[in-house]
Amino acid sequence: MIPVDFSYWRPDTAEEAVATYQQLADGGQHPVYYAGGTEIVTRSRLGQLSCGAVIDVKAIGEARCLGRDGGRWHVGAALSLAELIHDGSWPLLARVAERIADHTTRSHITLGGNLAGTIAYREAALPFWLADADVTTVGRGGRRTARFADRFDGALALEPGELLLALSVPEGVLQQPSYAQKATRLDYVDYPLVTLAALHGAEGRLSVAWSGLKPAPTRSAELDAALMGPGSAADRARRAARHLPPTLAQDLHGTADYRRFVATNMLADALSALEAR
Amino acid sequence: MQRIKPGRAEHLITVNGEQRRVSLRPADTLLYTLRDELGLTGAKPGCENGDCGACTVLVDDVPMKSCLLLTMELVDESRPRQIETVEALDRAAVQEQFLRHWAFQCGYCTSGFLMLAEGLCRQRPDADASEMLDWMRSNICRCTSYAELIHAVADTLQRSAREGAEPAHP
Ligand SMILES: Cc1cc2nc3c(=O)[nH]c(=O)nc-3n(C[C@H](O)[C@H](O)[C@H](O)COP(=O)(O)OP(=O)(O)OC[C@H]3O[C@@H](n4cnc5c(N)ncnc54)[C@H](O)[C@@H]3O)c2cc1C
Ligand code: FES
Ligand code: FES
Repeated sequence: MIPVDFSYWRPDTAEEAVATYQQLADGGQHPVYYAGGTEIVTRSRLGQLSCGAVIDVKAIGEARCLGRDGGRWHVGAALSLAELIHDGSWPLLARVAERIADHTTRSHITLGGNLAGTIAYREAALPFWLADADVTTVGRGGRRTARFADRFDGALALEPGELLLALSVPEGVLQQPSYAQKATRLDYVDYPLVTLAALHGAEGRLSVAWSGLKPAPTRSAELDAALMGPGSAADRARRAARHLPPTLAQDLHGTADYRRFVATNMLADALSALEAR
Repeated sequence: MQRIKPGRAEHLITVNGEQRRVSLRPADTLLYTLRDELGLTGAKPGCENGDCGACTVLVDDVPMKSCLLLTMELVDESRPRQIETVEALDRAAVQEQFLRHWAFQCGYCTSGFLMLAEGLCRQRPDADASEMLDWMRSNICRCTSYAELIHAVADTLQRSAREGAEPAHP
């Protein structure tokens, strides 16, 4: 039971959503965009979030786009993880998404909610961070498309009231060899101890992004470069692991040392799997 | 654009094939509307955090956790949503197999597991063992009836495949 009530708004367009947000914010209503609602409902019930209005973004057609156009693959922020897995156009995204939460909850959680939410893991961001992704948002100043990597550094930098509308990647990325692995500690369905996503870019470069280590997503250009040197997969993984963040999360899921150990082995697994192709 | 003020008001939702008029606040979760407004107590409050699945119902045949949904999300005249609770199942194939395999102990998780399994049988009647496990991991049984639950659901899928019949509809 959510103790505090709020008003409920369901706009049909992104511009309507943003205008509604502004109007409610100016009126002191503390609005939030509402997508899958999993974080908003659970945090509101616990009294960790108090909003005067929720703006449900799931009726905005553009936020539910899915498909190829102009050489890019476009995906709306209000699509559920289950819908992305079912679509399957991008195997790396599907593999990462199918280890987030559990089967039923993946029908609730949206791509946008996972990227913009306060729960730090944001595992669905990893594939977009590795690919040359664009992100389209709508805010007070209108529409804006930018490189995802310029707006995401473990968390998405959104202005107050800025709506995450859609993401896109070059079509070629969908076919690039990739690898994903998630290790959990307490149960198979859990937040990550360590999640790794790896993408073999067009020019033969391997890049890697992590969730769980900090625990917000991290990546390192030095680590990616060290993966390309000479030596066996295990040697390169050990060398690259020196570029993992110096301090790793230390919590219920595992110690920092254990995370480092698991991450190093995951790197070796990723190299072996990608080079065996 | 749909806009609903805070406070109680009457709205229509479709539950177990019937249109029902319910009094609700925008902040009410489906779990509470079903239990407190409609007296459908089959959906159970467990964690109310999306973790246990005791509150699982079907929305347009898809298993959803009713503790994570605002009832207001399902109030949509342009696209009426079909909500089904365990009360709609009437000796469904999956119920028969739960009985045959003793797939419960205290029974608190049972209605959630039944709706999850019913959703699986409708959506993915050809699911293999690993897909079935992926679905079943959505719910938790504190009495750890997992072996019996898995046998019951596997048997329901196998029988419906063998009989080539419509799977498990009520
Ligand atoms: C049972 C369970 C298990 C989970 N397991 C995992 C896991 O394994 N890995 C993981 O990474 N995460 C996990 N999560 C976290 C989950 O992915 C996040 O909480 C995510 O925010 C939920 O998405 P949502 O669509 O439900 O978001 P909502 O609750 O609707 O929104 C979350 C936040 O994002 C904002 N928001 C949503 N959409 C937009 C948008 N389009 N534009 C701007 N802001 C927006 C909202 O205003 C709100 O602040 C889990 C959550 C649950 C309930
Ligand atoms: S009560 Fe809904 S998932 Fe536990
Ligand atoms: S039978 Fe008791 S919780 Fe499952």
